[in-house]
Amino acid sequence: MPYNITAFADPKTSIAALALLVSFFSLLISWRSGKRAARALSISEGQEQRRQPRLGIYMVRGYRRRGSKRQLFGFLVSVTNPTDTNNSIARAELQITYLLEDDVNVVCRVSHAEGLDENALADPKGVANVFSLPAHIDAHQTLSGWFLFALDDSVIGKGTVDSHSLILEDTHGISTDTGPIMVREWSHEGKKD
Amino acid sequence: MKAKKTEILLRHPREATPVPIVADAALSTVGLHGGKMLPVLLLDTSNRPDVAEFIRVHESLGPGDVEFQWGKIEGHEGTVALFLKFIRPIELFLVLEFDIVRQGILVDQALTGQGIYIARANGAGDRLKYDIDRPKVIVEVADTGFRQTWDELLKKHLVKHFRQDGLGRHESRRAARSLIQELRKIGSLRIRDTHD
Repeated sequence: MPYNITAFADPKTSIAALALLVSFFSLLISWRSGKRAARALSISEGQEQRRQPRLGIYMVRGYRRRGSKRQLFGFLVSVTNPTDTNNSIARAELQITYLLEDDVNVVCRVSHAEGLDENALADPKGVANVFSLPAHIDAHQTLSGWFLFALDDSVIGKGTVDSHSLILEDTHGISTDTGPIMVREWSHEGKKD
Repeated sequence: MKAKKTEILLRHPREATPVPIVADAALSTVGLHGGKMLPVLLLDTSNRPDVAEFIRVHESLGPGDVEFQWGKIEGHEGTVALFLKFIRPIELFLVLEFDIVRQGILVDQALTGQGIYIARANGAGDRLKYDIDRPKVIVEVADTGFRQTWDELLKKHLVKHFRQDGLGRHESRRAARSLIQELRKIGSLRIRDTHD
């Protein structure tokens, strides 16, 4: 004789299924939160990196002119501040690496001489914008101008110049250099036109 | 002050060897460094052409910047060393090593005067008096707290030296104290500016 019954599922099983569902949603929510937190961290790291002071140098031209007892160097550069922090160029130096007779490397630094009267080196028309240090440079701004250097012939003497590079130091003491740069002999190019 | 070990990055292995001090003297100049008496070190630059070059060009390029550190070279007993890192006008690293008993007066005078002169020696028997106008570089050595350590080191090594010479413990201490007092009496002399 058939015996019909209505079987109810074991309540423990349904509670377990519900708990599994809830935990799945929790997992989903925490995964999304984790993803958002990672994005937020990445954004704040990017902001922090943009706040770190640094300068960029773009070398436009570099010239050298030989005088009777010294050499004059002029570099037309654009200095950029790509960060969110206002900054200043505190010091500009020309780093010259030269070799002595026995192949000993010597590295000397010459400071920017804004008062050089041979400004004609930089601009034959006499309208050159020579940097006056310290030079304030706001966040996300660019400055353009000349750095001038004079080097007595007696300094290098019989040494052979190996490389030149320009080093800028900002307010925070952070240095940026151009790496080795090509320096052309100066000629009065304006007259050729 | 507690000593700590540190490593220094060198550009060339020759920079690790202390530059030998051939001779020394003391010099006080009116109007320079407050007229304080500073030790003059004549250096043997035969293995350090970069140091010779540095001294040569310093007069043309003018004053620069230097970082310094008093310390001790590992494995060198009875000495102290002055590590000098010149940043401008010429990049250079050099080590000067002083025997505490024999050359302690130089260290003491450098700490008192807060500076030293370095110059190039012309050969082994050279003395400052043979060419007093030779190019010299004045290196400012400000007090960084080494004085207290130095006082203890100097006293300890002088006492040990006198003990080895046969003096008793008490006498050695007294002799060391007396010697240090005399050294400092001489070292504190300075030529003051005259104002007419």
